[in-house]
Amino acid sequence: MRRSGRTKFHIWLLLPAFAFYTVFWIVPAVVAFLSSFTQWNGVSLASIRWVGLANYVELFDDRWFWNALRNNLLFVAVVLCAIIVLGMTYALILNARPRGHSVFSTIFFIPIVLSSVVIGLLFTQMLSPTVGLVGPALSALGVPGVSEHQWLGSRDTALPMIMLVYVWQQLGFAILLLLAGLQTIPNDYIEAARVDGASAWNITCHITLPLMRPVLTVVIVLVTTNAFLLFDLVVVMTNGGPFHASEVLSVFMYSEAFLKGNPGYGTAIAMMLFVIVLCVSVIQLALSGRGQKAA
Amino acid sequence: MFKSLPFAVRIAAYFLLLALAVSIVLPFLWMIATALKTTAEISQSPFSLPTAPNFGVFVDAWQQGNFTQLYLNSLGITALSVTGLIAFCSAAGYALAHFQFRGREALFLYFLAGMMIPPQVILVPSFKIMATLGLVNTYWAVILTYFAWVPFAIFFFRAYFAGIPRELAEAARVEGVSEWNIFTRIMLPLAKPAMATVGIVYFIWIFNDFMWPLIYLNDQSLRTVTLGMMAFQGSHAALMNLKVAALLLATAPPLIVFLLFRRQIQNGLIEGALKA
Repeated sequence: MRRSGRTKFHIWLLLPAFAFYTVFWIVPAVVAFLSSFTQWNGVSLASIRWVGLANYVELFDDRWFWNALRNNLLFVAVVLCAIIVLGMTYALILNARPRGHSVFSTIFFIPIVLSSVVIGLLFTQMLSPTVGLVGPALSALGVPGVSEHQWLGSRDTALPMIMLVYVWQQLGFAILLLLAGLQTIPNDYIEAARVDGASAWNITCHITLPLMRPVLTVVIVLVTTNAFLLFDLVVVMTNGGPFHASEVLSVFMYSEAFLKGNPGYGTAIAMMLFVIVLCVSVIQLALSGRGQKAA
Repeated sequence: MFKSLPFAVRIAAYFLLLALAVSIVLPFLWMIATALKTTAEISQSPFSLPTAPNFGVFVDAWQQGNFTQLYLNSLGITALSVTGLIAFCSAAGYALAHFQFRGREALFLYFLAGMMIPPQVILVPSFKIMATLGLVNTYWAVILTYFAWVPFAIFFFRAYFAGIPRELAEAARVEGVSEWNIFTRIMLPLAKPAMATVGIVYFIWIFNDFMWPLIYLNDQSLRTVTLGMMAFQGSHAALMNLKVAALLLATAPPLIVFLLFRRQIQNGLIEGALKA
């Protein structure tokens, strides 16, 4: 162990990362916190006024905030369930090593490397009425009246379509992590249970899933956090529309701060997002702490 | 193991595997078919094969979408950001793992705190800071922001260096090797696997990032692939084959890189997510 008395070399090692991180991440975070209590036109610094909790009062009174929060919660709930259930199912299947499993997993992991922007634009094209893939294909299969349907332009289908695309994009990553988790489970446990005559179903429920708890916790937290921060897909596919039907908190924040010129109000929304992400992390810490005690 | 399962379960499993595989492959086949068709063909028969494939559409899309510029911008920004991050964070991770100094644990927690602060939270103030520095509409605005994305890389490098015995550096010190040489000649070469992991994870993040370029890079000549794609899809409302060809041009290179480096990318992402 190196003592700091003789050299200050570690300071030089730490300085660049510390400087960039502090100036461009921590300082903006502190400014965000402070400016959520101010009001200004976003142009001249002289126009900044301290308004206390006014932004938050306004926020809790703003039906579009509640709308964005509701959309966000709905989005997280649906995609989390879908990704965890499907992800676990596919990971269990692939872990049993059926014929062709490496081809299947290669295909499943493709969306991981593509950007949400390109994926969003691709599905926008596929969902476009008359000339896309989805509407005409469904109507060819005999579903009436869908060829012309505006999948992204209707209040009822805009957010569900974004959910679907999000699951398409994120499922591979969940499968990848869960499969990696399954492969760390020692084979002896499973062999021992099999020798004792346990069925595949019982092995899965009573040995595999309990042992998967730590990995499952990580994946649930990752998916939840990322889903709360959803931004790219919405901006690309619907821009929050039609009439706020698919607006989530990040998009609401962006449009208030950058398009409508209310930076103070925007940072108040951002702080709400921060509180939510913090809660998810705290719950994770509590859960993993309990898991360690139980083990 | 799979063979020991009941027949019905195996059939169901294959059905699920095929369904997901088709849902992922189908959009790519549709893109290829649609790009090669004429616009008239697309509206008449949305899912037929092209009668007279027009491969020139890719050249047109590349030129009209200004793809040379987009890829140069994206690759330049990503390469510089990733290189910087690896350099700064390997140094910081090494210091946090191998040096004893006051406030070491507190400093480590300070670096980790950033994981709790998503980019959305700092979007507005960051923009004001960059505007004050006069960096909006320059590559530096995004690169400096990416340089600040250190928490994950520092966490990862610290854990990696902690696994390297301290006696190694001590022996070199006894021999009179300078601290700088211990770091660059002994430690960094040993950390190559960690660099690869951090590099892969950050490359995918930064290359695919959308939010920071969206607020910082308004100039057409500065656009990244994600921004350029967004603009291109908005501007050519009529020509669907051209738009879809452009989408293929944006998906193909990441796809090829993925197929070539599948193992490394997978392991990098697994280590990245499950260790942190």
